[in-house]
Amino acid sequence: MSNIAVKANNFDDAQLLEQLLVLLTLCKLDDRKAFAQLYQLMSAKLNGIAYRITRNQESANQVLIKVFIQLWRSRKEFDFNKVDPFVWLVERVRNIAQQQLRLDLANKKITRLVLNKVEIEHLYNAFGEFDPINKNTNKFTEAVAELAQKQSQALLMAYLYGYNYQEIARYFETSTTRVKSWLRSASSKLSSCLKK
Amino acid sequence: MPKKIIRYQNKVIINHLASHYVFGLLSKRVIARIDVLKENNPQLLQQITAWQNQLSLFDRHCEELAPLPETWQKIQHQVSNTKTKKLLNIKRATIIGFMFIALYLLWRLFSL
Repeated sequence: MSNIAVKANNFDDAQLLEQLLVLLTLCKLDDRKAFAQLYQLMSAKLNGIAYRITRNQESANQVLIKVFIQLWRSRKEFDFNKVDPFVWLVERVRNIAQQQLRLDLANKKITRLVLNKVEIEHLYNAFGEFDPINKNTNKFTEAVAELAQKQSQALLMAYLYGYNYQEIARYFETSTTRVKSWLRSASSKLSSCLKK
Repeated sequence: MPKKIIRYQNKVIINHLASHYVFGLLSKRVIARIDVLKENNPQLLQQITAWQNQLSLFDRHCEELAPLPETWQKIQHQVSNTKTKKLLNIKRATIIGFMFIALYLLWRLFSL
């Protein structure tokens, strides 16, 4: 593989999408060089996402291996007329990373989900850090900002770090029923701002 | 239409299932159920996609982390193994096929 690594962060969203579409289409045609280029382009980004959830380098790498093998095996099924390939890749990483996290917790490879109060506080302001791409994104970020602080924090703890109801409840020293109610309310408030 | 199906046409239920599916808060059993449902329920699939598109903004800005150097070799090895296994299976199937034909011909020969 070439030493010149072209990483996902070197592109803006539109360029990255274009690159992904080209490489995945070539993969569909059994092009192994394109598969290697796809790895070069996306591995650091996807590994970062896997690490964010598993919080373990070895586990994150396991996730990455599983995702790329799955990707190669299902390459003929790619259909990106409806789905953004970046979102498609991220979903696979998140699903496998969450399974890996639960496995690691069960095997006591990691003892607990480490996230301190300062990090959680930062999550509340996280939505404001993104450049609005379009009006819908704006509406969505505004709606998140309007949520109660605990609602948006709980949502981000689940989405970004793979926390489950019980872990969120433990963090906020409340019941799981209350956490479920926060998230139900958040999802219903945000649903009107979704880009369809 | 059966009651169970009508339930999944309800917008509130669809949004709840879709959002919590994307948040990662559903049990394995419910995830498996939704994976089946979304194939035949365009509204559910559309809502899941909408949530994924919106929340993936966070992933676009996630910090990159270089994987361990041996990760690519492991992927390549696994991918090539699949190819080799497939070839071996084809070879095995061909040999077995020839054996059956040979046995059939022998049987025909001796039965004459």
